[in-house]
Amino acid sequence: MNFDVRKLKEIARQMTDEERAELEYRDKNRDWLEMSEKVALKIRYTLRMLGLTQKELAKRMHVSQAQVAKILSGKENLGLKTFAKLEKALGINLLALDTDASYFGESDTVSAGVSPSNYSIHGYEIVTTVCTSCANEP
Amino acid sequence: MEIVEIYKDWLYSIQFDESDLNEYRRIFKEWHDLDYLVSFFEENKDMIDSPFWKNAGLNPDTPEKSASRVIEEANELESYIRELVLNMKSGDKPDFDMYFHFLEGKYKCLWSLAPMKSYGVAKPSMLRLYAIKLDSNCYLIVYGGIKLGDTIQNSPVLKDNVIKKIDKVLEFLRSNGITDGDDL
Repeated sequence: MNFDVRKLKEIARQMTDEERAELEYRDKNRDWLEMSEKVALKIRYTLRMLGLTQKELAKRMHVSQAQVAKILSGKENLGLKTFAKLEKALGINLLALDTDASYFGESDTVSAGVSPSNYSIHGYEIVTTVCTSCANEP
Repeated sequence: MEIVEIYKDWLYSIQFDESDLNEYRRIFKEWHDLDYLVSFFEENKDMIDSPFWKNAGLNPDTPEKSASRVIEEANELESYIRELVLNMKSGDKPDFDMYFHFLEGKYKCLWSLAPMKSYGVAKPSMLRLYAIKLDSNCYLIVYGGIKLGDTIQNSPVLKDNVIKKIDKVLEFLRSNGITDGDDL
């Protein structure tokens, strides 16, 4: 080695509390954060497909535009109440959508007993999932 | 410019004067910034409209799906880096030296402080981390981004930053006596 790595380690600063906290927060909350981000992207896609603005979505959900912006940031820990409002406002089933392929206008087999079916909103293809094992239930 | 210890003895990050964030933090923040990601894939839809990315399941008309792929991959990568740190502590493999690969091109003959690249965990991977090898299993993160082209030069954003940042950091290390400069 013709350089002094020890010197580099000496001049390196430790992470600040804020930097460390962010790293640990992301690590501890990775699973639900990813879900929140994916839901946000699906809502963004649906808004684009339907030609809806964030303001219009806020109006449909009876929440503030700031609340919609938070949801669309993908950093919110969404509750079932919010899910229900989103589903009603957009006419989609967010909780049943368990793969990207099943949502972003492509058909694929989602999981055992569940298969995708297409329907159209304002001329765009949106895919929802149907539980086939429940199809014959009354 | 300063050096930030991410995982002591193994992973460090540069922080450029013009940035409030160290690069490691900035990179992963960017890979979770939905506004940035969707805009990036909208602006570069022509790059996604290629047999390579279409075969990988991406669609130029759904930037949201490409963004979703980045998020998944970024999470996998960050978890993998944590795993490498644990491996380093226990002496298991794979280690950081197995994860980083030489960035050749103009740096082909640079044996010490060698610029390196690493891929995301997914196949094919859209994500790249660029680092300088300081020592065995010791790396300094210099830059990172989404690689859509076959080369850095053919990839938006990367083409304007990777080489420039690496050169800037090599110069910084030399001016701080981290290297004697002979190898350059």
